[in-house]
Amino acid sequence: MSHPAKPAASTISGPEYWRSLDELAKTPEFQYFMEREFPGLESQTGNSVTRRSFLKLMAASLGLMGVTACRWPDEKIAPFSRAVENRIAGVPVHYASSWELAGVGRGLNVTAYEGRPVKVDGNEADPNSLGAADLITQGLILEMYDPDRSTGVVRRGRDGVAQRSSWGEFTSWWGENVLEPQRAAQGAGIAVVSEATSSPTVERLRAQFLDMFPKALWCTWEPLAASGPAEAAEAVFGQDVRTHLNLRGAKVIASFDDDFLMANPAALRLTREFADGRRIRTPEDAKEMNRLWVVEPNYSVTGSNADHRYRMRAGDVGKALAAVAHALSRNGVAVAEAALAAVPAPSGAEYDFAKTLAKDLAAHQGKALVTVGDRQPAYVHALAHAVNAALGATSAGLVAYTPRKQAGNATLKMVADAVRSGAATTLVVIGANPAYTGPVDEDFASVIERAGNSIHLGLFEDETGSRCLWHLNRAHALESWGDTRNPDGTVLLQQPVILPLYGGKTAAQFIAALMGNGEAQAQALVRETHAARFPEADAERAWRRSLHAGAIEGSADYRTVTPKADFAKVAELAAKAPAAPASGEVEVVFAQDAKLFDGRFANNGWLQELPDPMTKVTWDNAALLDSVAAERLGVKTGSMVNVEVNGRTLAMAAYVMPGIAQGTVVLNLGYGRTAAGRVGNAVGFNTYRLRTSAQPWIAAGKVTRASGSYKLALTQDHHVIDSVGFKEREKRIPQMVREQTAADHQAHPDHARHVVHATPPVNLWKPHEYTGYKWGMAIDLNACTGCNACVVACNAENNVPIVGKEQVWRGREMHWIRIDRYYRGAVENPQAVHMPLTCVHCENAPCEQVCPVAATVHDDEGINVMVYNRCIGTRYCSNNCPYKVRRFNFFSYTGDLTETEKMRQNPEVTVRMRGVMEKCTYCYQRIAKAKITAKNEGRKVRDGEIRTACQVTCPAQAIVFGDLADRESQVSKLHAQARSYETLEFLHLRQRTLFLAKVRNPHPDLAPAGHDGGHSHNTGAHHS
Amino acid sequence: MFPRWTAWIRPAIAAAGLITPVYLALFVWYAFSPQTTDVGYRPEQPVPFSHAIHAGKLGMDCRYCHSTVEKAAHSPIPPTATCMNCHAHVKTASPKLQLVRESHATGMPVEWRRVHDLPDYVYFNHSAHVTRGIGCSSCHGRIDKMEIVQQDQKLSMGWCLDCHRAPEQHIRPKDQITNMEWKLPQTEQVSLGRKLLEEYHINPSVHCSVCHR
Repeated sequence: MSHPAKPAASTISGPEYWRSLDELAKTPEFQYFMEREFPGLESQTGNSVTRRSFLKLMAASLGLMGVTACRWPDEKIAPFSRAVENRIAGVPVHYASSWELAGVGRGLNVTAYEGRPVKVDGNEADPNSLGAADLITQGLILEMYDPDRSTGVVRRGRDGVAQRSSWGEFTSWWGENVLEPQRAAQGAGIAVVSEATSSPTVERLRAQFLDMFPKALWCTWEPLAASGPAEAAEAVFGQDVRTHLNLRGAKVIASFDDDFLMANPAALRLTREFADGRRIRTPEDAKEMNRLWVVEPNYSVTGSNADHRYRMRAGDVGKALAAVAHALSRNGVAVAEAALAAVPAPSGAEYDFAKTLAKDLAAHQGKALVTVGDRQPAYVHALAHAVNAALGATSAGLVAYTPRKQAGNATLKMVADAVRSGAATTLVVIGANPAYTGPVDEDFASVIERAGNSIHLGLFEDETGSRCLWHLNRAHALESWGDTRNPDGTVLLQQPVILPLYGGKTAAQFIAALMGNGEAQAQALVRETHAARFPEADAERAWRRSLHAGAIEGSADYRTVTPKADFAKVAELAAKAPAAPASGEVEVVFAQDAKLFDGRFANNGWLQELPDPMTKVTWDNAALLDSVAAERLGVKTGSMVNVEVNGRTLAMAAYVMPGIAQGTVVLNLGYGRTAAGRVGNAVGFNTYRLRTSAQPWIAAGKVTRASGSYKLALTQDHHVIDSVGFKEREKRIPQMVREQTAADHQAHPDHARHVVHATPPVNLWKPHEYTGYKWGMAIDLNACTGCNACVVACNAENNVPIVGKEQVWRGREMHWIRIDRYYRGAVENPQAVHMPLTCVHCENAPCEQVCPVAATVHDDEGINVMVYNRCIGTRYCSNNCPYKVRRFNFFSYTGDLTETEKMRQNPEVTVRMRGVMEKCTYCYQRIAKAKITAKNEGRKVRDGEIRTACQVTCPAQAIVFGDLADRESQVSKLHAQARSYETLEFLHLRQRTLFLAKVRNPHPDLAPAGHDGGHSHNTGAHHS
Repeated sequence: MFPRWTAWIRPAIAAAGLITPVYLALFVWYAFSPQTTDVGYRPEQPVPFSHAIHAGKLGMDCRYCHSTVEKAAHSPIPPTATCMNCHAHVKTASPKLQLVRESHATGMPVEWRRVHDLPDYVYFNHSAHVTRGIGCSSCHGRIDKMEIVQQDQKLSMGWCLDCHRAPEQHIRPKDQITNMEWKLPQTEQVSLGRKLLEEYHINPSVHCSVCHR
């Protein structure tokens, strides 16, 4: 009825978007996904059901129908014997707490029902999370209730036979066999490998431990910590420093292989600052947008947000920065001579962009900075320090340094050598998993076996724990008293929201026990550390105030320093830069995984099932290859390849990644685990087995084709907008995601609405009438960075089940919200756009029109409601949904959950059964709660009172929910912006979720001529 | 060949074939309806607590024990300590109170049996009703006369909707919520109800989302 008119369609010269190379090539696999609403349905269950067994089952179920009782099962009500103050049954309690990952604290706001934590969010009072949470933090709940967590103390004999033991047995064993003998030896026989921590309590106890045992070795092992930054700081400043970024006020940001939106300790704050620096409320704001330049080997999330992105081998990124530094000095920016002299300007057309970038940086002195990724060699960091100083980034506070002290007194190699030589007989591992994450040439597994005594404290009996003679179960962050520091050094407090499920101990308790105090209480240890911070007269109240806030006020001990810089040693550093791969070789780059971090979250189903932000691979990692190399090798996504580094070979699946540097292979770490648990074992490929201590990040290697292929469960092609329109795909995708340039936005603010011309639609039905609230949402594509935290937040809030790799491969993942990643432009080096998509709650909802049993209906506030009890599973609704956001329960995904797993389900949301459809409800439970509270108080729901789970966790504040009937609400104002548009407008769906077009800010010298991202305005007279 | 009476067999089978399914359907419909299964459900409680004495004879306010009914979705069974507020002084040796005293001494709960049990996919909220003119007795009946609590109403979806569609039939002034004897003649109730609906801004939804999420 209202398809786009033919003449208008022909004027579309929009960017060509595509989701994957498969789509571009129209491979059979892609066709398969496109043609089937629920791919894989033809073999429903995997094992065929015969007619005979079907009849047997049906007869049995019919016969047993009457056996069940007529009433519900008898339920018991167990009230408290004495009521707990401020505790009301069924009303959640929120606690401020924190947790720590690789030594960086994150402030938390934990929601608990009846003593069960069910949801974590960021603590709004924590300046580094600002109420947002990253995807790993959102997965914490699942980790805590993981049934594979270690449940007690295990003592293993030399023969490998494990016995259940106890904390008390361990402490007395330690006292007799290690503590007493080692006291005299000053700990010379003890070697400790600990995870990184910034906990003041652990730091205090570590210092005490090293006082008690001055000859003991203490090593901090984090596989993702790189040595480049420290080396550069020592050379340039004479001391190790942390580099802090501050993007507020930054107009030009140049990232050299730095995925600061995902991998920086302060990524949440940086994402907010980056998004705020691009936020557009009026078209004038487009003038003030920041500009992001990214030079990188792989295609990172930060790279996908760049205005200009250049792919470059990791080993060449430093050369690119050198080119920029030299160009800057030609532009009158005084980059330190010694630094410039150390790194010659490279030649080659691929470095030409440096001139424009330098021009841009030079034009924004004091508002521009460069940042370098941790894995880059030291000289690149040193050069960045010189450039930032010259640009005035340091003096303007965009880049700040705080001194950092080395934690402990040893390296992993020193520990390994000491154990091997027999100097250290007792090996203690705290939290870390070196048997899995250690450099392959160190072979830490054998080191553990060599040690006379080995003790492991951890959440899981993992690769390390299962080899140690003692394994002690650790208390989870949500079960612990503790403390940590956020990236700016503020002390965050950690309070338990639930008693330890398995009686685990904290790291602080463990270290206290190593010093002979096995009875130490975790809370007492923490309070002792901070006793001096609280004035004695008011200590109890001050402590409680800090607990309530989640942080100790004024405790930021990281003091910014302005160290004297000396760039004389940069030449020395540059000489140590890794050599370029020889001909016939490729550059192998190791990368932190966006989901599993270093592999420690491998047993977390939410994270495993989350599609990688860029590759959209679930339940796997792969060797990411560029398309030229793939073609040369004759491999495609899913082929097996052999990756060889330093004589070690790993056969793994290949993934042809657009936009990756030519001659670079990117390997994500953290997969292929053997002792992660039932979820994480044997998922993906263990790339640590190629990682040596000499070349932990950038190595030269070879890739050859191996026989066979591998099934990768990718989600990118699953929910292709329907096949009817496939032939007109070029026109349709621009109807979904729209973008324009900053200059264009100022000239034509409503351009996004005119990308497509729909003929004026005619209503077939009488429109709904609304007298009360009209709920709606706005998603700002210009703010969304594609971090995927919203997906995990939605899983936690809405009891979204995990279905497993096989089911994802069949296209049956259950995520209510997904992030579509579209590529645009040349196959080798495309731009990317992220588009969060969830049910948009159409007024003229196609799903409602086809449901034969009225299981999906409109309510009086405009929400497209799903009624599980009415649903009979015809799946017509999903068939008719143009966005493919409806999810079907093909199996009972929640039926066999263990009792501990059941505890994490949100009691405010129905757990769905097999055979029903489900989808985004706009977090209806939160709407209902706010409405009832407001009504009980005799008022209307206030704007901002209801925030959906995805909205709360979004660090970029890209999602806004509210009442459209209120003209003054935030969401109404966003809907009123000229950038807002309706997707697939010609279908006349009238969505309640509007999107706001992405605005890119290319440098004027590099901006494409004319309009970008839409049709040309001078071709037709269509201004209405 | 066959005796004459056999001619009736075929019509008889036909008639039985018609009647039996109808009978079975009616039987199942009635036998499984909440009217049959739930109304009057009256489980024996571990402690023979009598509402007739406490709420009826002694005239205690419902909210003395069910304290969060105006604030939260659940109207809880009170903690043992609430019982002991009085029973530390009254009937201190009664064998009927043995479990209560034990619970108070040990800190372990008394395990009461649930009488009013809605399906888990129904999100009923007490506070939304009692703060807006729906009295306790409207759903729970004459609790003040019950020795052992029993289910008084069907608590089925149709029953909920009856009231959501015609709230003027049931609504009462806010200060009469706990009045067990509240009853007005039909016409008076309707005219008062209409007035109260306006006064309290009540417009109950009959959409699925109001109870199901």
